[in-house]
Amino acid sequence: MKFSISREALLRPLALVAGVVERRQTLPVLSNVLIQVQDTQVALTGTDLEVELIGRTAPTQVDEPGSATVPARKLMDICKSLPEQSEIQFVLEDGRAVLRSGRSRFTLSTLPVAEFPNIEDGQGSVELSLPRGTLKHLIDSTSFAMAQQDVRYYLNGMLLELRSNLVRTVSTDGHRLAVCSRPADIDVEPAQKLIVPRKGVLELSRLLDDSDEPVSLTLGSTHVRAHTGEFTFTSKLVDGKFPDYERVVPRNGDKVFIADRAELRQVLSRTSILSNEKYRGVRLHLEEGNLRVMANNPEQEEAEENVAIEYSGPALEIGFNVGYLIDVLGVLDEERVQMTLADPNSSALMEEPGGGDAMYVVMPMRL
Amino acid sequence: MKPGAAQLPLGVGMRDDATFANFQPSGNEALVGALRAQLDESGEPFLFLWGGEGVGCSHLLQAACHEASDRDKRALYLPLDELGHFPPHMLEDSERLDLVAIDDLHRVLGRKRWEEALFHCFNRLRDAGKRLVIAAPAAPRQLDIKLPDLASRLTWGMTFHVKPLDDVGRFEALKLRARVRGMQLPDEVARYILHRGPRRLGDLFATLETLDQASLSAQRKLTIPFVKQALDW
Repeated sequence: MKFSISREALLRPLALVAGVVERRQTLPVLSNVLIQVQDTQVALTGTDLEVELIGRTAPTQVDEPGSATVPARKLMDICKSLPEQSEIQFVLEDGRAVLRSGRSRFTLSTLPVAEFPNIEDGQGSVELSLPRGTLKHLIDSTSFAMAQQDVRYYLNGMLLELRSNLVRTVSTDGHRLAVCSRPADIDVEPAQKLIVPRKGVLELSRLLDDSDEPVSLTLGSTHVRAHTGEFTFTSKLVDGKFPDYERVVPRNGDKVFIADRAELRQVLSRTSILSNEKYRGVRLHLEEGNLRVMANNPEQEEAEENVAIEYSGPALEIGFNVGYLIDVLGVLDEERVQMTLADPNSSALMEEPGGGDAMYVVMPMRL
Repeated sequence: MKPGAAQLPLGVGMRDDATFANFQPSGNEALVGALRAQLDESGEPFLFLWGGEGVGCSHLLQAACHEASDRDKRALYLPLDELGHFPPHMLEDSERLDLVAIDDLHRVLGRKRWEEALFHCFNRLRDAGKRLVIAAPAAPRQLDIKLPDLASRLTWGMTFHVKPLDDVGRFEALKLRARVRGMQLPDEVARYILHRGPRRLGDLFATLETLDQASLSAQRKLTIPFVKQALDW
């Protein structure tokens, strides 16, 4: 194997592919990236056995096609620290990979290509294509609510629901739930529901941009594959049933207020400074035209803020984890936000005034 | 903020209805097979299950009804423990259903109107080719039935003794119930709960519900210290 490539052509795919590689590995070869060189193309593959990402890029010159696996992070750190616009030459010599650029030379260890695992190419049952921006918007609007390491494996991921003319994502960690739906020009019969694991969701989002260019999806029974020209992403699916989100969306809320989103977010951020660091509880006191936000901590320090809102109705006091409210205000993009409450023990619904494509349900805290 | 502060959980836990999928059949495989096959063309029209408290008679009857609904059949579960205080009108027209499951039969025995209603219900279901399953704490001949015709009818079908689970079965049952809820219950934690927890299976499974809610609220894994704290042991 011998080829040369510009630093810039290598860096973007390498950074994304190396993102899939876990720092701690069960198999040594999993900390490596697989480099496959053909006449006009260099393909880089990273995997953790759950998520696999292949990035393709164009070399400047190929002298000898071939393949090798080299430590992913070291390769990326070297490429990053080389001067911009550097030309990098790659040669495999006696089982070691030698990188030359200008007056620098690096020799990296390799592991046999045959040891590099392939995610099995399961049968794809459904193929469809979506605008990249649509999928990215759906993921970015809901991914923050995924659980991190819940004992319920199905919460550590995102539900991707595809039905004719509609795509929906749902995530929940048991305290809050995020749902986002968008119309899409797809024909899926019967509807498909897959749970993509947390890591797969975050990596997939990094590949997508806001464009109308297509991303093609292949849905299998155990895997999902996304393809965008330069990248092929494959993720195992979480085997299990996702909770019925419609059961969780509150229908009984009768106290509806509208606030300026940015202003409410700032008020909550400031108040949160003096909330209990562990629980992050804040108290909302809702009254005609005004929302009072209060927090205190074990050191008896207190914060109180008032913000003008559109509201007429009975007063209500309710507690929340302030982080959950700030998360929602951070992903909504309208200027104003609408919040629907019922009582101090029932979940709150947050959305754009009049309802947008996303809905957020947040359970209160007992303070 | 007071020490009692707690995040309330959303209702995203899995339902844990009594179904065959979350019944640990150890020792009772033949009975479960007969019950699941009851709605088939060749199924036994009448089954009688008996067993002590907590062996799973009610679970099996409810599971049979759930399975019937999944197969688009109409089924009715009648817990006489709760319904026995009412007059037996609920048994009228029961032959319109595909399956009638009567639990806690002993609650209405010795009461003339109920025994007669059960006798007629049995005959109507039989004539209509519909299925009946009855559960009681003892076998038909050991029950104190005043109406001789009802007593003889109850011996017409297949009778099964529902055997209680041994320690291995209880361990498997607890793990199964946790798994159906989507919770990973490590072996040592399951053993701890069995050792420390209530003897009655129903109460034991109720502790899983408590743990489900507590771990959703605290976003904690099921470890022995967490179980101790959540169950106040």
